[in-house]
Amino acid sequence: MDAHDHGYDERFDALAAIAYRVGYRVLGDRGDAQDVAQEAMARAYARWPSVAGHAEPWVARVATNLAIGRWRKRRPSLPLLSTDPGDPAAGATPDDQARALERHGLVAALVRLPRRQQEVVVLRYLADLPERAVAEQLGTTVGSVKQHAHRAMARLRQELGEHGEVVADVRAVR
Amino acid sequence: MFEQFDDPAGFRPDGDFRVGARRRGARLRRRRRVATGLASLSVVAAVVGGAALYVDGRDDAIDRVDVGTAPPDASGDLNVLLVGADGPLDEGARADSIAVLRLDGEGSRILSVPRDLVDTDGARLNQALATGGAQALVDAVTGTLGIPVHHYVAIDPAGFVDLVDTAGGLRLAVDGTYQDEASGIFLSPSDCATFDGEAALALARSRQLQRAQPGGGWATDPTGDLGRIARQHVMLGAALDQLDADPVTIDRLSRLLADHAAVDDGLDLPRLVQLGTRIASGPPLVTVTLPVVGARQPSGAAVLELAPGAATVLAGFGGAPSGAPPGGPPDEGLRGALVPIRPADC
Repeated sequence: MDAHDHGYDERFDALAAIAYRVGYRVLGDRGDAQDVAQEAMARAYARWPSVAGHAEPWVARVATNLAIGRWRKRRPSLPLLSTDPGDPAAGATPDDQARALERHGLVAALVRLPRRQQEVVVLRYLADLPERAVAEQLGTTVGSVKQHAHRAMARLRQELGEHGEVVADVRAVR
Repeated sequence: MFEQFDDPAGFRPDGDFRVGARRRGARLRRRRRVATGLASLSVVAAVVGGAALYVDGRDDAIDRVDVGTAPPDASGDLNVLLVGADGPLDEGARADSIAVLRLDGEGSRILSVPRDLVDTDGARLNQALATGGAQALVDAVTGTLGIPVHHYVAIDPAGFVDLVDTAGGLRLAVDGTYQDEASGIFLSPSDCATFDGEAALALARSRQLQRAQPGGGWATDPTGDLGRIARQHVMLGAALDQLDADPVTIDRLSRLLADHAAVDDGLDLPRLVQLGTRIASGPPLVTVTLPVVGARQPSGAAVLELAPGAATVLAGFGGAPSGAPPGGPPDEGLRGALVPIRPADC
């Protein structure tokens, strides 16, 4: 291991966990989330010297971009109720379906947020990073982060309706 | 809000996962080394003016301005007038930042022109764009500085913001607590702060930067626009150092430039690639300060005029040869300027 890689192995698990968390929350699938996490960690490795100083937010952002990229490409495939034993979706309950719809609606609302708000939501609520880390990453103050977060959450809640029902038309979302 | 969507089984990376990440990362690293030379040329071509190396057809989408510029110099030396506007280009925006990028036998250097510099009629240079359009600004720069302008590139604020965001943000270290309420920038001490497009724009525009005083209160940068130029130079140096382009980024850059930039009609894709190659394959870009002095107009307005040392500097940009010895008087104008940023090591 040369100087380039210093710290990468030690921090690998924690960083991969962030990437996986983001990937799973967006895509709802273990395989997808693992792909996202592995690709994010590969890119972190490729650029480790410049990433290491702010690895958590960097990995969070890369994982988000990867996850949303994949989310966009595939039309929402809702787990269908299926009785075919060969179908991996077999056994999906109405609850699973509802959750998939909700997740989809939330991501759709997330990508529509203004840039700054989106940044804050991604780092703070998708990746669960602490406020200080978010403020430092965004080059601003904790107070400003709180403000953006507050506005963004209000907007997300509004788009999702009072009871978390998906208001946006799933088919209409690109 | 998102925790409800977590994987109940959790995640623990196993050996295969780790090895896979490292292996792919090593491959990416090798590919990046090869691409870096090409990438910096592409990025610089995009920064200079516009089109993608990899994407055809983008060329037509960029706005061309019919600007009369100087004929090419026999030596191949040339000046590109770079303009950052303070609003959309087709709505009479003023020139917020003006700079001249020179490419010659020594490499590349950039001269920032203070906004409050006046032309021979006493009119501020930055007004020329708003009142007379691109041609008026080119003429004002040529007339006031006595240097030729061979090409013209203008970008609006939204384009600047997108440029920074597309490039992944700008990383700078900050040495204290600062603010400029007018431009909306707030800085805290940090070894590595990533500035997104909006923050970078707010910092680049800041003309009344204030530093927090230990006993309370704020001290304002007394140098106004000159301090701003010094900070912009630091940002430019950091940007050129940190920009690392891949085909996807180049594609995005060309698209945003199509929406937010205007260039003279002598700048087509092959020419841009040529310019980009020259910059990337030469020595690092040098930033140059224009010696100016404060003056007062009859109206009482505070403006700037060229200082005696300016002739020497301008001679290096194709201006008339100066009789003065090289290395003119020290730059008094920048004393007390607040430059709290430097490129970050992260």
